[in-house]
Amino acid sequence: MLSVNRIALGIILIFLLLIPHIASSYVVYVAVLAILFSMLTASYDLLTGYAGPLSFCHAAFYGFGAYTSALLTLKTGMSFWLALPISGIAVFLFGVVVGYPALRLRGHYFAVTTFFFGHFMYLVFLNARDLTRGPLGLGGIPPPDSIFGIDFSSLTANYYLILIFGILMVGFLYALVNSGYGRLIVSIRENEDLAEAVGVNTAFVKVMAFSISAGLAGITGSLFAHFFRLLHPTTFAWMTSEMIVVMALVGGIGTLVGPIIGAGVVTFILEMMRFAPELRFIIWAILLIAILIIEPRGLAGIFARIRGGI
Amino acid sequence: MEIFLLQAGNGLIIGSVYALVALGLNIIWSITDIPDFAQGSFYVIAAYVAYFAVTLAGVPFLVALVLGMCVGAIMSFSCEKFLYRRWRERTFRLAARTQLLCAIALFFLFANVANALWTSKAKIFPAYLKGSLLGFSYMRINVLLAAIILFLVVYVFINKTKPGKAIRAASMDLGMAQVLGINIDTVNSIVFIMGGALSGAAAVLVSPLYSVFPTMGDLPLLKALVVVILGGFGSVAGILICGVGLGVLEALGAIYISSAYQHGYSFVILLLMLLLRPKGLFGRV
Amino acid sequence: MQDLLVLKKLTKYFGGVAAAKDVDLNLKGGMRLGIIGPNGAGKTTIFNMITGEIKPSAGTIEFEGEPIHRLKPHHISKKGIGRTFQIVRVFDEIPVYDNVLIGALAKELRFKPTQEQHREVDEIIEMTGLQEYRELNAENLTVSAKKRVGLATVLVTKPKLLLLDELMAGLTFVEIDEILELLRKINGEMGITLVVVEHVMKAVMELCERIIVISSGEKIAEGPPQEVANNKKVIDVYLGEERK
Repeated sequence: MLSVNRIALGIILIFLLLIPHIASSYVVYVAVLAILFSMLTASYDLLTGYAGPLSFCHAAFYGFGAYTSALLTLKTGMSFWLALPISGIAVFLFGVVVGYPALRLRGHYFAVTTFFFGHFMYLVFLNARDLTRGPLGLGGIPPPDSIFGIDFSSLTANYYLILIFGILMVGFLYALVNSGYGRLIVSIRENEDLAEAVGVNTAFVKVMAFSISAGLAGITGSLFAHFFRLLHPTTFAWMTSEMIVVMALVGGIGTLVGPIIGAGVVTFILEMMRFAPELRFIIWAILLIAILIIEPRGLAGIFARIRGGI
Repeated sequence: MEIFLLQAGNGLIIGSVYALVALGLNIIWSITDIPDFAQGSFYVIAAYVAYFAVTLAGVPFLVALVLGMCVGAIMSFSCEKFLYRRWRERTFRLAARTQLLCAIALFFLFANVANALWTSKAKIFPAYLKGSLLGFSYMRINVLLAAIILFLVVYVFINKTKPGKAIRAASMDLGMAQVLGINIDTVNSIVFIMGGALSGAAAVLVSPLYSVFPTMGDLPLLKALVVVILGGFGSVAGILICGVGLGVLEALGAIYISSAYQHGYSFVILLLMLLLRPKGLFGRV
Repeated sequence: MQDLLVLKKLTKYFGGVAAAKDVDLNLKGGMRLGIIGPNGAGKTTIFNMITGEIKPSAGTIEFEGEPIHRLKPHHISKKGIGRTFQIVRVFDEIPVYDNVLIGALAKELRFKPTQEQHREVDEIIEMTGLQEYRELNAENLTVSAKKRVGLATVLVTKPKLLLLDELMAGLTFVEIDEILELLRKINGEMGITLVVVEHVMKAVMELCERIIVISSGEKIAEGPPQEVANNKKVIDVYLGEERK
């Protein structure tokens, strides 16, 4: 890694660590959202950026993780520290079940199918009222229990909890995509038939990339549930999935850092436009089209061009 | 039994709306490889324009219908000419991704423009025809009739006319079509104009039955995409059968299984079909 | 010695058309076999059946005495059959070195590629003459270099049998001579059995010890190069094609 990158990374980390001490609680909430979205886009990048298939259902896994974790703690009194990994694993397994048939499809077929799957899951969240309380929203979710003497009733403590999980997840993904496994994942994106011909079990690798990506979204969902303590189906509707796709593509997929920056930038822009809720998505859509016209590879592409001096 | 027939009939009518949107999407998708989500928002804008034409200017419904089709066609044509086209020369992967993303952005853009201009409150489209036949209002029956006419027009256009044959050639082998001297820019413009007009027609036809609101395009778009995949980019007739079939299955599912998941059945059907027949029901291969 | 590859009555129908019909073949280890025939004769179909990309309609394929015609391509690759593609395939947007490394990792997956794997990749890259392109993205190379990248990626998986689909098509005479030399080395030093589908007749005649001729999906001749070249049926097929 270039030293410039390291310095930038260091500055961002210090800034993130300082936020609860220098900014208002509103800013901390926005920062939490930005970190959660970064985790979503980074995990999304594993599938769409590295393995290749364009997916539109990441929010479904996010929601599945959130509801699983919330219900486990609410209905069985389970500790957050157990519910978090269980919801991650549950969503991973769910990813295997969904991914196995869906990933037999290629190209836009897969993309559109995930689109419907996302919508289908939203309907489930909305209509399984016995469990999710549907449009009323699921409230009263407990905050994370204290562990190692750290109490998680304060905003600051919760912020750091989510920040640490964010760093861990990005670190895990970074190690994964740069490993031997990561190279096989990339081989599918670059040429699936050739990968299969040289002995890569492409079906398995794709399902794994899909399921790991889903599982990580599930963990993010669990963190979301216990931070905001209120779940509503619309949070996990297709709009959120679209948002994840756009954030990742704006940043530049297949780079891991691009989607994270994209999540930060888009969250920030949307918050800035809170004053005009009607215009929010109009401005946002125009910005997106403008970025596509300027550089289809996203911000990462723009940076690459600046660095390349073109 | 009466409920069954009534629901089946309603399913038939709503299914023909899905089929109309799907027909346009299908032609666009099979030639340009763009799942044009933006059609869902042309649908919305066309419905609003027709609504204002009827309520403010007092034009007859038929004129409003033609107006809606023109609005859809112009929007669709412009989006292809000024946006999608610029990425066509890129490497395939980047082009496909960029065009799809742009389509989604356009979908959000116009749906939210409608929301900002005319609020999210549903507007009641005045009835243009009274009376009913066998429990179905004439307006409902007209949807079906208009859909059949438009399908016939498209069928004849694709199969019997010269530009239609060029479109078919382009959908089979784009490279070969270009070698044969078919201008791909023109073909693209024609298919996007057709797609937009069909979306507009579907929207205006259905508006008097329900109402006009900014998110009215979401479900028809979703269902139309399902129909296109179910049809496996097949023939015009295949789209009609799949669209109507989906509408009827949904309507019956709503009364016999559960209405809460009415809009989820299409996904279940889609997944089942993809497992059993990955090439689509009427796939060419 | 047991035959390395045995095809028995191998048949493939597309719709009602036979792309391959009752093709029999016994191939001994270490051989260099050429498959020739007019365009659309079914040569690539036979390749695709051996590597598992398409399933035969009838007949069997045995590799080292074991039936493989029901296996998936990646299984077949693991058994020791490698291939290159008629329309050259590489991992486009990543460097040549990483292309070849993927082959090594597909053969033996490691969380971190081992020293041994890096060494093998280096060796293969040198052998195929790709040193100067190591860091370039594969998509930016010439066709000839791309073909060598494809060859290197499959060679690093250490196949026992290598199927080469029109490797020489579109190359200059100098490049063909280079590839021929490379193939002899692969066959001689690495002991890899070669099956080549080729239209460049000079190359097939020089390289192969035995040739089979396919026409309309059927094998019409088999034997040493000279014998096949003088076979009347073969001459008819080729001249017939030219006259059309």
